[in-house]
Amino acid sequence: MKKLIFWCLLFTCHLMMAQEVKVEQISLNFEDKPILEVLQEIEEQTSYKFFFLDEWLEEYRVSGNFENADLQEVLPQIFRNTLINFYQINEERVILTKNNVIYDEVAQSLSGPGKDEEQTGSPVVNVEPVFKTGTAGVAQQGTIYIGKEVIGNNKRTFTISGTITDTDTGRGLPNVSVLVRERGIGTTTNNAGYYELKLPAGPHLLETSSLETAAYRRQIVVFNDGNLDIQLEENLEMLGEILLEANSNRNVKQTIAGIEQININEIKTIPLVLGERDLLKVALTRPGISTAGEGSAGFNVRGGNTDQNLILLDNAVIYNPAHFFGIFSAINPFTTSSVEIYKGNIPSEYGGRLSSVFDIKSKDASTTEFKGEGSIGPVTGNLTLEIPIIEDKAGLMVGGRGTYSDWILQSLDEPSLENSKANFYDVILKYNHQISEKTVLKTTAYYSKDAFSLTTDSTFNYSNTLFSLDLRHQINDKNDLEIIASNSGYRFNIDFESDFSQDFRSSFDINETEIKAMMNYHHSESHSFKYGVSGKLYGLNPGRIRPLGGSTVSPFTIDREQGLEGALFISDSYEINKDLMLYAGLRYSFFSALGAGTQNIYAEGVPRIPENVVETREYDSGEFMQTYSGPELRLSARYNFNPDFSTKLSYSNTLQYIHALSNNTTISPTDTYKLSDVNIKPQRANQYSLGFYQNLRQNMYEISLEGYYKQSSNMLDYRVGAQLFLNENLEAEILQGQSRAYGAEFMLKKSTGRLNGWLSYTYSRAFLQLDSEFPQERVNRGEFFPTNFDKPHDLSLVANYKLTKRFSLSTNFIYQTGRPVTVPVGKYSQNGAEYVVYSARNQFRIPDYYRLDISLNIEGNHKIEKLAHSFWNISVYNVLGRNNPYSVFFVTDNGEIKAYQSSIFSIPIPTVTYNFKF
Amino acid sequence: MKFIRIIYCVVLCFLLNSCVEEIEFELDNFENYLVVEAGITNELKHQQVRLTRTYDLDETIENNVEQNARVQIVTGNGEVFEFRESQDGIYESEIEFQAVPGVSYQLIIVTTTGEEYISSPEELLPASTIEDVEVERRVLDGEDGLVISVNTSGAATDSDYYRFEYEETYQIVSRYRYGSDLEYDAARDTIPYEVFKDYEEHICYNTSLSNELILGSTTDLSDNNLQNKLVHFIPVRDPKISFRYSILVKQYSLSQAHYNYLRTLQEMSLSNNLFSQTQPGFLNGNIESSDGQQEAIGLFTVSSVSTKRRFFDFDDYHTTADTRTYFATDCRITTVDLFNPVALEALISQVVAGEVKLVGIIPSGVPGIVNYEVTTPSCVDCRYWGDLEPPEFWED
Repeated sequence: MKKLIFWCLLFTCHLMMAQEVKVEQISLNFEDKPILEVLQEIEEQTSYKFFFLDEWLEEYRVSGNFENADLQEVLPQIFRNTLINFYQINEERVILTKNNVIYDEVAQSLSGPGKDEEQTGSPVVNVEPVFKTGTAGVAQQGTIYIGKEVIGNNKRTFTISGTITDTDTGRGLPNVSVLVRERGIGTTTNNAGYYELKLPAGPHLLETSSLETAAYRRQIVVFNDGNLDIQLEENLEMLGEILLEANSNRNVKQTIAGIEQININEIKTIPLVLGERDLLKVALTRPGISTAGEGSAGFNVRGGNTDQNLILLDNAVIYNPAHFFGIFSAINPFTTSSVEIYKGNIPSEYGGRLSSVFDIKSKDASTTEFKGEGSIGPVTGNLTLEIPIIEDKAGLMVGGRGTYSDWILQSLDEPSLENSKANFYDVILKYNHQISEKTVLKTTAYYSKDAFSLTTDSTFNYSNTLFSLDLRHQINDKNDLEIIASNSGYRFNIDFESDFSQDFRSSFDINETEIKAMMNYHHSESHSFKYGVSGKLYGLNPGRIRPLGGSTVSPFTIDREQGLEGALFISDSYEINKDLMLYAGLRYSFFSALGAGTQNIYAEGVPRIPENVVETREYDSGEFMQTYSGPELRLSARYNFNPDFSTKLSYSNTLQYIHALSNNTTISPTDTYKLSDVNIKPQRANQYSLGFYQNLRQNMYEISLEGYYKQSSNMLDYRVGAQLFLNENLEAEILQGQSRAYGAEFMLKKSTGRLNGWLSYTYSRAFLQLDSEFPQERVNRGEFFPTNFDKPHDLSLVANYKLTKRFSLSTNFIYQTGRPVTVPVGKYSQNGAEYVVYSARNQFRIPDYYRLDISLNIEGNHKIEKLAHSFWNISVYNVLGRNNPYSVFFVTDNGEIKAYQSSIFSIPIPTVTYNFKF
Repeated sequence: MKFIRIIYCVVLCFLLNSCVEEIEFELDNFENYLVVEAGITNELKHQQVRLTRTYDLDETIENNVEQNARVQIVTGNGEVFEFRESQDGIYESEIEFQAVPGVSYQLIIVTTTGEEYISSPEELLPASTIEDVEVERRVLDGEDGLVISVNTSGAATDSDYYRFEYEETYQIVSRYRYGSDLEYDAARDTIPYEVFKDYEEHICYNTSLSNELILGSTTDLSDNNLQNKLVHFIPVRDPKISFRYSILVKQYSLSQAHYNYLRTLQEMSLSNNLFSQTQPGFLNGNIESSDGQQEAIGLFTVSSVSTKRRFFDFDDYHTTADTRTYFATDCRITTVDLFNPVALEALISQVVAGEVKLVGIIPSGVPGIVNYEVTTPSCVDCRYWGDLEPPEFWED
């Protein structure tokens, strides 16, 4: 109906002449008065009559003071803060309109096609009125008009902003996509649920989509800058389907190449092992991310070592994100919202690790409603609570998870397990506070602890602690400031208790504190800058031994190590035109090994062994013992062939000053860390990548193909039998060599429909070279050899099929080439016992790995009155019962050689997990 | 409840390493290296060097000794000790000599194919002496047994490194003793007949050598002497300690480099933790070919040696609750009914083949006819397990 009136008005009004309007004087004085009453007073004073709908004006009150003013003076003042325009038809009648302006000329675009050309030729852009044509899609409910049309407004793009909140809780919803499909314009909400969208004037079909909420589609007409708040209902049933819409064509559009994003909801239906939902395990099904074996912690990203990943939980480094040797992840799935993995080009604000950044973000607590979520599985129990502290402003999340395996072990009637233990727990606390509309504060505290003993005499303990604070402040429309402060620590203890009065505790700990300040500068449509500075202080106690009880072991401590790492960074996302976009980042990092300390100087031209130390230099506290620095370039370019097909080219250059030390073939919780110093050079890497990205059928299918070549230098490895813990001449055990990795990664992802999931295939190789003029410092005669995690073929299929609204079936299938292991080339006898001889490293492969998992997911019913929403997951891990070898090793047992094969999960493992939410 | 049990089993599996299984493994890239076992000591004797070759996993060492090589040890003083092959692969010095402090020794080997191997020069390291060998009964790693440990004294430096060996000699007493045995001669009789023994087969002695690497160091200790250094553990029901037992512990001093070599060898050859495996690789010893192109496996060591012997009896560490165990485990006694032709036939063939020994005679109920009680020979004849002659050092 409104539409009709609008058109009628338009075509009748243009005949009227504005200058004929009769002028009457108005004198009025009002204070905070409803506009409706003010208009009535004007009508009483004068002969003017106003035509409008009461509901347009109900909410507005105005103040004003006029002496003999005319109508053209009074009305703009009254309607200044409203969406109302007015048009005086004749001497007495004034028509009010909401949003739009009534024009008294025919718009140029309606007067004939020929005139368009004139428009482009004219330096003065004629402003076209906004017309609402037929709807551009199926909209829900009515059209929304945004902003007040202003005659002669030269702006043709307007900013629509607002907050998207949860209907039930009122909490701002982060990561909701807001988009106008036919124009390819979109954005996502920030953590407070706030969004800003630049749209041309006119009608649009606005949509939102997110993992957690029902889809929203409304017809909007944009007249000016305006506000549009949207309330969305939480959508529990539709998970699986929507989540994949979230960043529907992100893979095609974003400039930075090689990003994997995993959302917690995406993994809800994935089959589990021992009932644990695990974000980081899902990461392993993505191309280019792998691990050495099933029971092995740590990630090898594009041929990188496990210590080359910067794993951040709410911006703070988490050193060992694994429980129980990597069988479980130390990241609580209930408190996590997403993980973003940069495996190709790393944005310049991140640094310090060569291969990747795992940016794990925890959820924000609800600020309106007390909520909880929990699960009961066969090994662990998990409970997360969200507690509003200040209504609509601040909330606290508390999450805890622990095992009951000790209880299980003790309840078993098995004497050999009397002293065994294996338990872990982790807790997280997160506080989020919307201090003002422009300022948000978030802090996170986290602690995880593992304790286990696999042999009767040793007990291992390790723990991660971290604390982070993140303050974001929007300075103005163009500038945002973010300040991050964090502290992370990792420590382990090994308690040894023997029967020979040699009990001791050995320990290691590392701690780092970082401060980072970062500015986002939205210079213009085409340039967006990010720049900042960061500083990090490391302190580590590389090893300590102290006797326990009446032990004869003497106390021993390796000198504390300290280091300072700093970086300056700047980047620009430059949109050259709508098809070509560049990302150019530069990071300049430096590192100093700080005193007090001593450094061993080795003679040149001889092997680096303790006997060849020629000088031991002493340094005072705070003195720079050795400084390294260098520029790190991060470049990426994207070209869109069409909106659904793009190519990206990138180059990334990284430096790493901290190194994990491990002489095991796989990562272990007792691996220690070492900072670069006089003898240990920083690791460097260069990566080149090229990728093609295609979306099909309205982003239902995503296809990507990426290739990379990575060359790294100063990669750490060790002499055979190196003693890395409690060694004063550690550098004498370390070899540094170069590595070469290349690969091609393919991924096909189907986002919507009853059947969804992804298929990824990676062909990759990773080689290491340890060469030296001295045979003792050479491995494989100085030739390149495959790394421990070189697994050329890696195929993962993750699929979810929705049977009904409540039942869904999912499956994983994983196939990988067996990893390389070192096997003997012969045996010999010595002192009555046989021993094997190893020569070339990693020349044999264990049999290929494959595994199929299946799970059935049952959503509880959705009766409103129910206490809790429940979700059952019934999984069978390794359905085929494949005995996947993890390792092959050779042991001298009673003087004879025996070959063994170990495997972690050699039988199908069924589990049932109950999840609930309230 | 079944699946919960399985899960428990999985959890246990981590703890018990039961996911580890023995496999058959075939080499596809055998490499042939010279293996040298050469340790000279400060004892005046014919010093020995043993040369072998690496061999394939399914072969035995006998086929792989290195014969007819030229072996010599030269000293920093210009002395040369020539070695001569005494048995296959074992070379003995032509004259007796002992390593003395302050002199460097170097091993030179020339194989029949003309390859020359030279060790780095090594010197005799001073060492502490074994003060005593302690025996104690206790539970170790959940097992009841005798712990044999050493204490040393007179440490030379604050970090000394040692390798231990032991020789255990034990008395073996047969489970059954009987004065006569059965013989069969068809010409003499139709059934096996009894003959008195004119030989001893009841008490024997056997010696076995340690075949594991036992290493010790004083580096981490507040006292520079080793205390209660575990050398050997004997489970309480081991038949070796059912009667009199003797152990000789030998301690060899090592340099730090040699100690590290052996420790790494030990680490690589021990059972690994399920989740993390030590990276194996080629161990560089101190012997390589003179052109520097080929390493030999093994070490040339020059050690001070200290030894100590200890004797003990069953009663010393066992109580009345403990029963003696025997090497022969299947000692069932069978009574043969000589009237049963099948049983008689079987006995005759067993006697002829030496598969049974007489342990008793019981009346058959028929006057003049007896039934034989027989058992496995190893339950009567201790020579299955050792030698009758006690070793020279044996003290009863």
